[in-house]
This record gives sequence, structure tokens and C-alpha cells, in this order.
Amino acid sequence: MTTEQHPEEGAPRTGTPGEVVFAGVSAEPIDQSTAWDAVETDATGAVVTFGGVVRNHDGGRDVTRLAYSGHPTASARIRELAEEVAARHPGTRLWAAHRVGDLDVGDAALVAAAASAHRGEAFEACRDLVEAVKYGAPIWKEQHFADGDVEWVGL
Amino acid sequence: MSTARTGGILIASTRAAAGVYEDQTAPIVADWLAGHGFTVLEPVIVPDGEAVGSALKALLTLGPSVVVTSGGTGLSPDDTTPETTAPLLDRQIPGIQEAIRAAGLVKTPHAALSRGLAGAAGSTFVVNLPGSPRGVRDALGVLDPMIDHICRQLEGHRDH
Repeated sequence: MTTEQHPEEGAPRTGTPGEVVFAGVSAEPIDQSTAWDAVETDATGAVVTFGGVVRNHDGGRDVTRLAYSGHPTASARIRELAEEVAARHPGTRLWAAHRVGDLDVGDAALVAAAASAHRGEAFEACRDLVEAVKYGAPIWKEQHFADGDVEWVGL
Repeated sequence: MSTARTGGILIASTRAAAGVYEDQTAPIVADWLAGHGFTVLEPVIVPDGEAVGSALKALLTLGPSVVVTSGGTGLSPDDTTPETTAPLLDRQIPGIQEAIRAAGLVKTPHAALSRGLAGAAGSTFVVNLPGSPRGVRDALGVLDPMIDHICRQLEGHRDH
């Protein structure tokens, strides 16, 4: 009599946690093609990228530029957040970077990418990753308005 | 498990943030936290005013057991640390600030002008201390016998 030790052997690896290719802060400009290239492999059939961009208005006022500051642990925390997202989305490959420093209107502040064998999981993982980093990263910003006013915002 | 506790430090000082002079209080708070078994997060130094609130909010995302702020508790127009802290507290603990002010009054009547708050933001204990190194030392002396108990209570232990 034989006992089936590995009933799922050969089945799709749905239980494998996702992989965080990169997650952290960047003092240098970030772009989506870097994120795309990092997560895409021969096994991934879908790549979803996201760019959070500095816009020229906030709360009805004209924004000219802003500066992001991060706690020294920000990179490590973003990594942890991404690992949690990876655990929730088996089989995905994830990339996320949040800018720190001075940014102008149009600059990317947050870039994220998720790749998976199929599009559904890539879309979901990318959304989850963006929300997790946006709300969980110890980063704050100093926003400069056209009228010369300055506002500090905890993200 | 006191070994897992982390402590954050937030210095509100326009001059220190601009690099005009070196902050002297962060090392005092860091030593004190380490002495009580906390893993000390690297201090954040921001200008007085609303930057304090946004940096505190960011610091709280790290889920520390304690955040000690220093500075911005006085009467100058840009001394707004209590105002930026208040909205982030779920519950204030007035008795702690009364005790800190009472200890300071023994040495200087100016202690009465410190408007710092103490309270809980989730399970994090937040306390606003004055900006002067002496004021910080005195206040930490008041917290000495109770910081462990405060943390245990906020962690949900039901001891008394």
C-alpha cells in the first residue's frame, strides 16, 4: 500500500508566496521601465505598473513643488510591507520605490509593478502594493503652493 | 516582551533641523529608551510647526511602543507641538503631564509654561517634552518608574 505524500505535486504552485524583487525608498528619479524590467520574466504573462505622480494642485490650490522626507527606517518598512503583499499574492513578482527629496510637478513619487502568470493577480497585487506603501510607509511631505504657502502632510 | 519594544524620538527644532546647531536632547532620550530596554529608532529632527504632526504621523506607522517628542511646547507662535499631537491621540493622560510639570516647578517656575501632552495613539504612548536638555532629563526622571507599566497597559495587560 502506498501513501500519497505529495498530493499537490505537479499542480500549479498557487501556494508559493510572491517575490519582492525590490522595495524601498529612492533619492534618485524612478521610472516604470526599470520596474517593468525587474519584474518581468519568461514565466510572467502580465505586468501591471503604477506611477504616482506629483500633480499641480491639492485641495483646490496650485502646487509648484514638494519634498518628501522619510524616516531612516523607511526602506526597511517598505520592504516589510511589500513582503506582506507578496504573501497575500502567491506567484507574483513585486517592485516598489518611493521617492525622497525634492520633486517637481510631473515627477514620479511612487512607482510600483507586479508581474504574474495571468493578469488578474497582477492587477490585484499592484493595487495592494500601492495602497500598502502609500499608507504604511513612514514618509511625509512638504508641499509648496503657488501663493508661497507651505504645508506639511503626513501621508 | 520588553525586548520587542521600539521607541521613537521626534525633535521639534527649527534651528536643529536647519543644521544651525546640533540637537542635544535626542541622545539623552535615546540613552533613556535604551536603558529601559527599547530598540531605539533613529531620531527624526523637523522644524517647529506642522511638520511635527506629519512626521509624528509617519513615525506612528512604524508601530513603536513609545514616541518621545522634544521641543515646541512653549508659548512662541511656532510652538505648536501639542496642537499637532492632540489630533493623533486617542486618549490623553493628563496626570502624566501634571506630574512632569510638578517636578519641573521645583526647579524653575518656567516649567508651568510647558504645554506638552501625554497620551495613547493606538497602543503607542506619546509624550511631549520641552526642548531644553534639563527639562527633558527631569521629565524622563518622572517617567522612569512608570514607563514599563504604561507600555504593559497599552499592550493590553490587565495588571495594576
